[in-house]
Amino acid sequence: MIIGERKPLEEVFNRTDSFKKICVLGCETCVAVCLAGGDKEAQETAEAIKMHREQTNNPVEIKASSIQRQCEYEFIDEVMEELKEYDVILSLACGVGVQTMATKVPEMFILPGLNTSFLGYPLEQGVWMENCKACGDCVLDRTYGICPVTRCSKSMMNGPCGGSSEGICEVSKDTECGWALIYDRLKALGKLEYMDEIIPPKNWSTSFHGGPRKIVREDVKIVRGE
Amino acid sequence: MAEHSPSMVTLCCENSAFLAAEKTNLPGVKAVKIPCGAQLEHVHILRAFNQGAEGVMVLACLKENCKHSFGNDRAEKKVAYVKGLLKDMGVGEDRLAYAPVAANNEIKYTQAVKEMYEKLKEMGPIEGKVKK
Ligand code: SF4
Repeated sequence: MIIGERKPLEEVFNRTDSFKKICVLGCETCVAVCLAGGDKEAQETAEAIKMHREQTNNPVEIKASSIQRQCEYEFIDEVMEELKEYDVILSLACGVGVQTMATKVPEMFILPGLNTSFLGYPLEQGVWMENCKACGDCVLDRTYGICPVTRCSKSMMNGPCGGSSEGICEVSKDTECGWALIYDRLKALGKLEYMDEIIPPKNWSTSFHGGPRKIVREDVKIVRGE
Repeated sequence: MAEHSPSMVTLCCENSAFLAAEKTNLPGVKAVKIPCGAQLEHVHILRAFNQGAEGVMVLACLKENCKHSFGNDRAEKKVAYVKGLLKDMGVGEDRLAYAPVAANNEIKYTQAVKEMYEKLKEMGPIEGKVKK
């Protein structure tokens, strides 16, 4: 899922200080699960803004609300009319949600209240780990379920490199060596010989260096009149 | 000038601190019952401030004595988090505190709350801008 972190309050205050009617809108999918941008966090952020405004003698009308997903028009439709009553929407969705909102309601200011951090999973309660970079050409079949693009600091397709020591990567003592993880996994599976396989240079043309990517599926597109 | 009489809210676990709080009558202090420290959310603390509290104290069960295992530890961690928010807002983290209190210890409840209340008196009303 998409993992995010709330922006520092100071930044949130600075960006919203000039607005008189604010709606803090949470998103109840990924960012709610990672405890950064759901309904609970929307309420909390609204209270913090209210408190700040009172201190700075800058009255505000503020409401906290949330929708199931800010990254799909159908869900935004449900609250569209209500949203238009506000001067600004402080969206606690990920960057995808913020931009979908901005496209759907172009006449309104939509500001981000989160920093979208990465694609990952909860390692344990309170700890989230990045494990996919959405490179568009998955190699997990060659690396047996551990992504070298994400988990190897140099995104090497064949490793480990000389910087690997006792399972730790040379870039930081807190970073596991992705290739050591792959090795350990193959060892546990009794297939260490797979380590000898050379993975050819990866096709990076599907990755994020060539502008926004787009997928078009004619089989599921709805043609007018259908 | 007349001495400042702050308004303070104590958010008390119904299995411990609230039972102690019920036996007391401290002027300027409103005790609010919460079902468990684990049920406390950051927003509840902020809301207390927005509704006029100048100081908030969260009180839950003694260490390793929570009816729901870890509610007290969670409450303590949430208090630490909100202290950070209050600091960022320029309100001051000292306006929020956590204390463990047993159900039968109204003396400790009174002591902890009075101590904080005195501090709030010294601090005076909440004022000032966010530190930029
Ligand atoms: S030490 Fe491991 S993770 Fe770090 S760059 Fe080398 S192979 Fe990649």
